[in-house]
Amino acid sequence: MSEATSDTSLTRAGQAAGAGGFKGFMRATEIDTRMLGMIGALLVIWIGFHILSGGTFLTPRNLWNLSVQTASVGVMATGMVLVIVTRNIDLSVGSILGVTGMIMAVAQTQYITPMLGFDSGFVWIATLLVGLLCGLLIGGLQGFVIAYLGVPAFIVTLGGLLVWRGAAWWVASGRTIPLTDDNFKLLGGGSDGSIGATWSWVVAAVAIVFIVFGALAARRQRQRFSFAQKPMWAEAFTLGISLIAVIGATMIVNSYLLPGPLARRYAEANAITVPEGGLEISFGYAVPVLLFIGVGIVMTFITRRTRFGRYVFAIGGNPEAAEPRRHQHQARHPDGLRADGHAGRGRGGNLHGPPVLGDQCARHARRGSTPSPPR
Amino acid sequence: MSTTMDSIADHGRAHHHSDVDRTGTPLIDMRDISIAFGGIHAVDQASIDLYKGEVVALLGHNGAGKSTLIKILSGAYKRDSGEIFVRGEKASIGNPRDAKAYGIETIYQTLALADNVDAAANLFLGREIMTSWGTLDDGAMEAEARKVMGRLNPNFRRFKEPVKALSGGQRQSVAIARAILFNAKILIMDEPTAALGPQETAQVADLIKELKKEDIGIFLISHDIHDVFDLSDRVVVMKNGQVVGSARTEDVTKDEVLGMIILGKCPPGATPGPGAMKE
Repeated sequence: MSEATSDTSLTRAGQAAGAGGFKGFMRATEIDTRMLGMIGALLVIWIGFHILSGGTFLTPRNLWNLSVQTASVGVMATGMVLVIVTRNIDLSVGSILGVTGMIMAVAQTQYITPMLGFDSGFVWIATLLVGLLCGLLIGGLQGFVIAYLGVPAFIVTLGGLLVWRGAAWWVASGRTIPLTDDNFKLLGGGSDGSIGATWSWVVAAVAIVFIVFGALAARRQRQRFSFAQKPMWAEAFTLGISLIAVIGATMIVNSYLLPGPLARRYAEANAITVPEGGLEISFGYAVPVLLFIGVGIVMTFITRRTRFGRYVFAIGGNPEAAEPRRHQHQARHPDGLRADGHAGRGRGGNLHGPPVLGDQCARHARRGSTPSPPR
Repeated sequence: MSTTMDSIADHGRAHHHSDVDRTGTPLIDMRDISIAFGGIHAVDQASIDLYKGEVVALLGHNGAGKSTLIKILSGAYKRDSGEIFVRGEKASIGNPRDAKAYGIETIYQTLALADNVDAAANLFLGREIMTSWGTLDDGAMEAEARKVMGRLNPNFRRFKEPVKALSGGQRQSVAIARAILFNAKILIMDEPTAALGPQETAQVADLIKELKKEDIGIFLISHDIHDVFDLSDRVVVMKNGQVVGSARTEDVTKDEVLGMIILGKCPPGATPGPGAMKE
């Protein structure tokens, strides 16, 4: 019975996926409707701004700048996902970004560069390590207080918000600190910190190879367990959309050209003769954007493919499991009997309902003893 | 896993209430169990047993001792005296882990599921199937999940959705499938239908029938006497920590069982226990 049933149910599911209409289409293409909603909202915002700004919003220059500005926020967002999924919150990310940034700046200008020398290629690595270490220590401290001392994350990180903001000011003494290391400055984007048209197309090509390879691997995986395959047209549709997105994004960043003076300086630096009608040198993808994409891929892998990520999500889905360090033999029955000693799981069991018999009362018991879902 | 797979093959024999084979060694035999909290004898010399493919319902008021007795079996409480035999062998159950090792699994009323992840992830939580790369093998886990769910709840389709999107009955079947994957032979179901509507209650009834086919024994704790009569092969009634009596479900009426629960009066169809009202 078992094998036969599951097999027929699979084929039936496959047929259902072929059903028409919007719902059938969404099921066949396996697009997350929530993501579709977010993309819709983004489009509304973009087009709205484009109209309100008199047509300056959806230009290569603006989109390129936005991509650079989004990169650092995006990197923090990947970490915030894990925090929020476990039903916590981190209010202090911005302040920690500030204080680690300031520590890195001060460390580079006052200690690392004098120590390693102005031309050293290791300055940027040392600076990054200092920043990572600081972030780790601050995060570890806040995490320790939350997980082991049982202080709610909201309180701890609200304190962190104030403390680290003040610390950032204290570290820098309120000054602006100009950075000198050219390698390090690449991380911030700008005309130097962009990879140009050719390399942008290389990145796009690599991305396309990975996307196609991923789709093939997914099909092979389904074949291995004889799951229903995505219909070919749906596969082609999602693949097509992804490829158009990659190529479109690359075309946009490549059509943002270096402004005249910068292009001339670039030409002089690289001994290029300026042709008639001026130089056309593209920015291409900015380095921070590529870093963000890399971080995004790594974090996706961690959350989707590792035990750790699975447990983070699992804990977040069970409020009792998410409660830090408090799940031993606590509940006490009103009449002094120890009730519910089972690792906090038997909550709301039959011990809490009114004494009931028969039908009428059982319905009461249902209402009385059933914990409402904590949402 | 393989044993439960094999056991499907022998469901040739009919499974009706009266067809439980009670001649062999019982799956579970709890004898003269007592436990006291302070001066209160929560369970006093209680004995119950459970056979393969049988559903035994435990009934009684709140504070009658049924939950305490069953928590001794699941390892949540340590008994003061008495013995537990699992498949004829004396078992030492001191904590929930011991109970699991004997194939005793509890389905909690809250189901203890991880709401954010899908059915397969819940089934394998804590013992994920990994690829040779050391990453989660979701395909393999989903394939196993489809097999088990195909047996328990053939209509179940929603493998890709987080379990919080599922109905109460579907969630129940995920929780039970999880226990079965842990090689459970004895299931303790604490108020399995308390949070469910009528349709979902029927679904749980089907689920229990499937489990019986696989020779799994079930202790059912329920307040709903209709559920008890629909689902169980035998009823055991407790009062004030003592067993009033036990009876095959078809040998007693609902009124008689209510009499056992409220008054401790043992009807002619039941075997009286130490807690039965003396005439």
